[in-house]
Amino acid sequence: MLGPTFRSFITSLIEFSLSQALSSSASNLEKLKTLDGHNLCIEIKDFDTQFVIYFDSQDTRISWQTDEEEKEEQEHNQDSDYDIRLSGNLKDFLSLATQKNHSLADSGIIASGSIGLLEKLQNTLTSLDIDWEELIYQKLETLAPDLDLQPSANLALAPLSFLFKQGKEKATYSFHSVSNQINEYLRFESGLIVSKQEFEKFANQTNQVRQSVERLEAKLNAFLSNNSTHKK
Amino acid sequence: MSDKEKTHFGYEQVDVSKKSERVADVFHSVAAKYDVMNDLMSGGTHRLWKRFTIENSAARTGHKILDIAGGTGDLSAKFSKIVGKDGQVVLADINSSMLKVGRDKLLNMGVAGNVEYVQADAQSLPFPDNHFNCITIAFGLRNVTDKDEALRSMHRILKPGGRLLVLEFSKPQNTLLEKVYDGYSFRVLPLMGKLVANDPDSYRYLAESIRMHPDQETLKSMALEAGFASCQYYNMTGGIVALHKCIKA
Repeated sequence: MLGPTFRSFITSLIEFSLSQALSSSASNLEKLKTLDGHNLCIEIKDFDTQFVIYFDSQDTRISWQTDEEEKEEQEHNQDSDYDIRLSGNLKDFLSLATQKNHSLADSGIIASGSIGLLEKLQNTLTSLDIDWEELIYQKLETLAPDLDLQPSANLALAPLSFLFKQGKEKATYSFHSVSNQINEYLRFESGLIVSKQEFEKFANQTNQVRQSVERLEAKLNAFLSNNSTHKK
Repeated sequence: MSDKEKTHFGYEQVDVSKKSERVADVFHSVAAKYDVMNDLMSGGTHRLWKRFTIENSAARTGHKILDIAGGTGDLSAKFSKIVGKDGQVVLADINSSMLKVGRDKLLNMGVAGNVEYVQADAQSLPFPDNHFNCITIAFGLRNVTDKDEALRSMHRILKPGGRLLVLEFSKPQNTLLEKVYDGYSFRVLPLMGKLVANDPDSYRYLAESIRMHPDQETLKSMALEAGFASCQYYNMTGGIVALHKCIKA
């Protein structure tokens, strides 16, 4: 399992990104206040790991625990029950996050805890409006306010924009394109490809022709030498 | 233990009664540049170690937390936000210079209202029995003269079910890493101390005191001897640092 230092590094990054994103908009902060004091546990079963998110009006904290650490926690800490627990495999969570028409009920994720709070959480998270591109642009601007970063920012953001907005479409297109090419190749070109058996048959036939030619050449040489002897 | 009995101050043997004075001198000297040096020496990794400590604290709104040898207040600042206005954080340190730096830093960060500052010796903590939900001591235990006494004192003031978190330098778990770490500790750290803090001796003491500190299993045994019902440790960065989590029954 990944060490504590690495896990802390990852959760710091996620927390920092979330905190920057949420604090950029007063309306997002207001929406999050409705979850103040509550916590959410996301259990990823196929990796024996869970992320716990603590919602707070000042901070949103994230903790990454292994299943073993959570069991110890429960042994020693009476109030370690989470307000909401979502338990599923990684692919279930990814589908839920990436496919807009995918709902929790269809996802295979098991939800437990306060139903009212779960509905509130769902409504809050889906209504959060985080403009990642604008955030990154603002960060670039604050780093060097005196420089004209417009051309650099555009240049930096162009690939990012591509990734964020069109990455999925491009990846899908690329996959289909390659897939079509392979199908076309197999359909039209495969007829021209020689199989191993065909090649071996051809090689054998060639050898037979070569042997026949050698025999014929030998006979011709013998015939010619006999003829020249008689003439003498 | 008589005053003339000896104990270690790094690799040097000193009278037991003199150790705390010597340690105090070190921390009076390093207090002003403590945070900068921590970042430089660990490449910022100490923040991740402390973060893991906080994640293991099970701290909640309304809890009472004691941060011993809290020094410049890294942990206390985070705990203050977690426990909220109904909770309490006590930042305790035996060294007045470190405490002053910590208090000024937290006030400058706007952390106030639920934090108290106490100059106290970890060996005889001036708090009631069964008082705190959680006690932390980050990179402080190795400087304590009588560690067993300190552990017993911490055990007394913890609530039943409460936890003690000891974050401290420990023994690397890999021979190659140990060699690299030795080279880094004894050559690079004093040089950094000289260039940044103009105090190579204090950082030489740091390297030496780490080598004299009990290893993971020994510290675990000491905690259990002190009365804790359970103690387990997590190695971080190859065992260079370990977090001991001890629970009071």
